[in-house]
Amino acid sequence: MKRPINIHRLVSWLVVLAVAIGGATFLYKLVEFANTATHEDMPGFALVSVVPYLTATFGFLLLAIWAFLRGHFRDIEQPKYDMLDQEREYDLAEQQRSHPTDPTA
Amino acid sequence: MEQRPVIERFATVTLVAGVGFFGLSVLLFAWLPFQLTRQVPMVTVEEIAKQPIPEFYDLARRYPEQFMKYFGEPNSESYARALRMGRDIYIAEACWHCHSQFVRPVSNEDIRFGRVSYAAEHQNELQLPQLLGTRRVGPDLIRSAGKHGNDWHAAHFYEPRWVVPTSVMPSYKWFFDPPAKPGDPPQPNARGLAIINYVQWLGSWAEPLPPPILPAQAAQP
Amino acid sequence: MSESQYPQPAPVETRLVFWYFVAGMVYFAIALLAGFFFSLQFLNHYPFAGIEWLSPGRVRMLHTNAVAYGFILNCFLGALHWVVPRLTRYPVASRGLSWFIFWAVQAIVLATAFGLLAGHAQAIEWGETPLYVDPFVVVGLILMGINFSVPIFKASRKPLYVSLWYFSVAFVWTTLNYVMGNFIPQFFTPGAAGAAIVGLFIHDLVGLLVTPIGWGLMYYFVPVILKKPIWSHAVSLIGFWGLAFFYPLQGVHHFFWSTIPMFAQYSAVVSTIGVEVVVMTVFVNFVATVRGRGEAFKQLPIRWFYTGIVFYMITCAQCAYQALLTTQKIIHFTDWVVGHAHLVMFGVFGFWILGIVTELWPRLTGRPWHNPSLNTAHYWLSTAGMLIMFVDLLAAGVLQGYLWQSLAPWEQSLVASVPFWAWRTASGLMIIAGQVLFFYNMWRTAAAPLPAAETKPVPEPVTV
Ligand code: HEC
Repeated sequence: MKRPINIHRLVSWLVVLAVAIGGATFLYKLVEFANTATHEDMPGFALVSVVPYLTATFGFLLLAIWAFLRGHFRDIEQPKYDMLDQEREYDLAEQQRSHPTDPTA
Repeated sequence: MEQRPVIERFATVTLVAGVGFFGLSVLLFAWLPFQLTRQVPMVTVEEIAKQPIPEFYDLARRYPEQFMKYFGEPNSESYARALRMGRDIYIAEACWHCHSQFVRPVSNEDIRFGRVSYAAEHQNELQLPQLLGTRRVGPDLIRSAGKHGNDWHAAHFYEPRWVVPTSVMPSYKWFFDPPAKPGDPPQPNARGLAIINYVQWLGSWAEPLPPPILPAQAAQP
Repeated sequence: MSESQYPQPAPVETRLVFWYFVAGMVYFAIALLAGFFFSLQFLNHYPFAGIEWLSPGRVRMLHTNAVAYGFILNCFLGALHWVVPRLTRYPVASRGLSWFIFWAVQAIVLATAFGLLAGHAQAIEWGETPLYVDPFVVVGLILMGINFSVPIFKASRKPLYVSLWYFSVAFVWTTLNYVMGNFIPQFFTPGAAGAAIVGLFIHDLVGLLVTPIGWGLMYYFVPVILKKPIWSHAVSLIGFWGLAFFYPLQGVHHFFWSTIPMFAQYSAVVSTIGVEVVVMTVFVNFVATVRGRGEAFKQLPIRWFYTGIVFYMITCAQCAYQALLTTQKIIHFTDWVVGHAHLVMFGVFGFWILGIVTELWPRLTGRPWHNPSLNTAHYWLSTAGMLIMFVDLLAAGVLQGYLWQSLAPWEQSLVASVPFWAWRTASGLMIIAGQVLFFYNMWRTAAAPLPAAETKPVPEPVTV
């Protein structure tokens, strides 16, 4: 008996495959990076390209953690609902006007 | 007490993301490279002009009337003027959108063009703003000095397809005065002389490309 | 609904939005023509050979500047004048200031066009604006920033919606970037350090002006048209902070293998790959939002938006390996980069703008589209033309890169590229044909008599 191709399963496997390949190349690059940072003619030089990023990201992370502990981000999804409610209100108002605006007049 | 959302507010966003992160990028990618290249002294046009290139005198000999009319005597002062003018034309006509001015250490470019570029050769007043370029429709020009003669350049700027039939370079007829008598070749005007001089100056500080090694020669001991 | 029984209309200056779109489309037409004529130079059929003011190099600069400052900036400002008041509930800082900025932008763009054709260009890529216009641009950017920041600032008593995060930084970044990119390399830093700064400028103009405003507009228009909130506001904020952090750090990738210090080149690789992670979050967010709403693609604006989003994903995936030092050996300096730039500027931001205009034009003019099927043709011609141009230029780029590496005579790379350049011109003509239909439709719509006022059904309440 022929089974129909399950498109969802196919896509899922393709995604897993792509991520696996991508992850493998990433790991390879990481190993290469570690080698460069320790063995090349100027050991440590390669670190210059990431250390500033790590430092700055770390500082930013601290800020975010501090903000979370102070009680921010508790209602992080609210603005997206507010925005749509407001939009609906404006649409209503537009329809209640007797005439649409006529900028070319 | 109501919590004021600090992170999600206008001031935080503009200060941290707008000014802070931008500042980090300036620090890493503008200030640091500047500090590193600052040790190489910046050369002014006057310093360059102390020793005009041979092609400059050749222009004066080849187009005596035109040269006299637009630049006077060939000396350091007129050479500096011609260099500055040539650079300005190079910018105005967007030559730098079709030609680059650095030789990379990859892709066999040192064989094609000559010595790989080094920081000091860009450290001069004529590279304010820099003309490294991001696109090559035509070849790189930083090793152009002496590659072609002045007459080749004159013909090439007037109509590139006369010397390179498959060229797609635009013709620059306004670099030339119309001939005095019909039938005479058009003579380069101030702009023509200046751009030829500028191109001939590019790379005049680097040793010329060695002649290509042909397979037959390479085989000999 | 708030205090009053009857809802108040949004404090939007509709006429201003209308005229921004008109101006944007005029410059778009000029940019398309300039690009078309310049492409003819590559086939040795340049129609204006020998005319100094229409020298191909100058026309090329006209093309890029008309796209960036004429088309994209004008249309974005128009869209911002629609979106910011609707999101914040406050009008922009001042009506008079808005109109002043409108005329200032047009004056600046015209002065730039004149300067470029007259040969006063400044040798800063994307910043060819003549030096004598630059101070006015800076003042204009500051005024724009103030004009839009006032309502955003007033609204930030509550946590801000992600679009407003993007809008509030775009003008801060661009003002700083414009000052840095146009004055420091011109007066202080020659050579390698100058190139590093120009690289930052090139990249930040796209990354810190066009991209944030573009994404901000998408975060507004997609949920509003779908009548469905964005999948995750938290994820969109991760996208924001990631862009803000990584984008400014990539500029040097425009000058790989140059004399710029090597640590800067390595760092640019790292951050270029870093930003891809961020772009993935944005992409996932939008795909998840439209999930289960397949029928929405019958609406043309949504189709424009999502085509642009997919193209964005393609360009960014391209960036990640285009910015490796290995890949750069072959593709740098070639038409590959030209194809990439066209996909970003037209395929992504141009498409979003066209989608927004398709959505707003009937609401601005108060008239239904003259002929909706012209808009469909516009979409298909633009998409097909864009795809052909992109694939064609990528192929040309790879070919050129390998020919140069093989040490074949330079002319051989020209001869081999001619068929690709011919296809480029042909696909450009397709795009132009699409826009001609659209311009015609816009004009007929605006010129039609005003329909009698009708009562439309009240939209369904939002289901969350
Ligand atoms: C449309 C792009 C384009 C523009 C703009 C352009 N060129 Fe060219 N150029 C080329 C191409 C293609 C070639 C290679 C074919 C040839 O030699 O004509 C070339 C070749 C050259 C050469 C010969 C290089 C060599 O090593 O043989 C020089 C010198 C030159 N260009 C200078 C200039 C100058 C100066 C300008 C500005 C006034 C300029 N070019 C503008 C495309 C362009």
